[in-house]
Amino acid sequence: MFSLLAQLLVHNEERTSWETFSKLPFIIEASNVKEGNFSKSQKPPQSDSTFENKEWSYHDFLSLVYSLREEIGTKVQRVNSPTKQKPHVGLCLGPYATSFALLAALDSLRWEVTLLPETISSELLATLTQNLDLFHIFTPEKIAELVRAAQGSRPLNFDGYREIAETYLESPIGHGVTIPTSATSGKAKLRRQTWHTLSLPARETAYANTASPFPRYQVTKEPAPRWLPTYRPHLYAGLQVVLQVLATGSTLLLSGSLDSLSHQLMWGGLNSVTHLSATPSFFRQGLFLGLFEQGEWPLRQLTLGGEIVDQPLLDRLSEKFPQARKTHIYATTETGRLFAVNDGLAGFPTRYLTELPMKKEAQPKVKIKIDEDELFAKTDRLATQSDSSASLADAEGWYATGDLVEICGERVYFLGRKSETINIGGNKVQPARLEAIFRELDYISDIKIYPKKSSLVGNLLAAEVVLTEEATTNFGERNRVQNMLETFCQKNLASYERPRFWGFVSQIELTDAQKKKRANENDS
Amino acid sequence: MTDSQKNGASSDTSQGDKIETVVLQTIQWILSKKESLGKTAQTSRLGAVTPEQRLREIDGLESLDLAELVIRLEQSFGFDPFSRGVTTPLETVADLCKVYRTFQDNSSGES
Repeated sequence: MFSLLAQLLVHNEERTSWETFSKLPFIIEASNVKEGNFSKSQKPPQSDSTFENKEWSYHDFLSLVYSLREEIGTKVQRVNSPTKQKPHVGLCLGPYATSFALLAALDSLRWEVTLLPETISSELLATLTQNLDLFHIFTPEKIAELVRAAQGSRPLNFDGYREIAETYLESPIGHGVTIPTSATSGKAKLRRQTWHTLSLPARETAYANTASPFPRYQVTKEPAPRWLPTYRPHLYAGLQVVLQVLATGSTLLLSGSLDSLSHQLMWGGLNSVTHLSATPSFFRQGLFLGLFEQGEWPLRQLTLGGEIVDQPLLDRLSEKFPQARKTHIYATTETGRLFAVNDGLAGFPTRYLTELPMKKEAQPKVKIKIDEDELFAKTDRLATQSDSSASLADAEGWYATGDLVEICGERVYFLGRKSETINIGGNKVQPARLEAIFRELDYISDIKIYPKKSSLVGNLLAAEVVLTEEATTNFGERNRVQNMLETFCQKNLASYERPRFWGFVSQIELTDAQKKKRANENDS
Repeated sequence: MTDSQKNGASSDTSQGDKIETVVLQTIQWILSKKESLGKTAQTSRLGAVTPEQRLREIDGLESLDLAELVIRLEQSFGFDPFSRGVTTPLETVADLCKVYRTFQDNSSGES
């Protein structure tokens, strides 16, 4: 992370060019962010007049990074660190400028960091400190304290900034960061990546056509992208958005809270978002709730990831945002980004199995294959386990992604996660595949299929349905809709594929990674 | 603790009858739901489910329906005897009721 900031400094050799660049906005955040904490009691703002954004220029951000670096490097380390070894710390990373600045500061000191969710119970905190042998955990309260202390320190001048940046870029690249996986079922695992590997996709995008990150927007006069991140920043996808913004000299828009989708999109509509990165579930809910109808959405880029992208969603997005490029990223916490699909179609071309499309600058070291319906990836960027030196790949270097696929003509389609397969009396069902069938029905906006434990046959299927607004008004009674759904199942699905328990909800709950929560309700 | 224990219900005959009533009603509800979707049993047969009837001979009641029945009965009674390793052979509806009754008697005798 710090290397991207350092490169911005080093590439702007002239003080004057840095002075021009550094005034550009890096982060714009909603004013309800107070010292790194979003007040939960505060209701989401209802209208334009209640928003007062705080803007962090690249210069503001960098000076906070340097002040924090000073503060940690001297006080924290002196008080706490028993050895001269670089400490391993935990950081509760919330979607705030201050916590990103602390992450950059820790990276600049080459400390090992394990990213944690913003809110974390004190029991878990104690367990983690012990199990991971963390010498310190930066909670939101501690971050706020540190930021207050750092703000009093004496700022460095441009030459001071550059000297630290140059030293950092010259030193070895092995230190890294540990990220929890975005588990949709079961427990999250911790995976370690080096900062160098983690920032590769961002650097490849930024420096694809030029040697420096700036000219792209400065020379073409094209306005710099304004990204609205929707993922929790401590997860792989969330961190990628921040790195992407840093590498390209763009602007990051932080709505203050990721707890409410309507708050995020209402705020986004008032802040001219040009780039939006989210899961298909997030886009579906945003469209369904009519949240893109409010405010302005001058979108140029829609990035979908984390879940299966289906054709009805892509079509609806094309209709709503005809001018925006739609990209489906296939990435995992373990392998990083593997490939992207831009042709507006679900799935990916079978030719990717022979050769993945790669930018010329990138080393073509990523390969994929299908083995027993599962997608495997071979990459020199594979993460390591945080608590073991054993490789995540097999002897030949192939990593099992856990994603099931099928080939249909010239296209490879995703069926679902292997771990989400539901066993019903010996028959295996992919919930994501069934959901796609139901979403074709015009009265269904979204649906979640999940297992209900059965002592006799293992599992039966249950469904949580969000009806379209039209269906809710026209069909009135839910019994009638349920009957239509059950008749549809009777005609089109095998008896084990038919959900036996139906629930109607206004919204499907998403995980921290904005994916559908699929863990068995009886699992604990 | 089960729902019926919370209510202070005892395992007397009326409680046993209650189990039978709920079991029969739930079987008929599952069957009528299937029937209304245009398959399986005739309406005339629906009223005919009796405690003496063999489970496997109830028209339209498949093994997945039985699994659904057990989950729905758990929702009604608050317990599932089969999740605790009950292996009594089940022939008739009455046998099924007996499993629930025995399980309830045993658990109310505990602690």
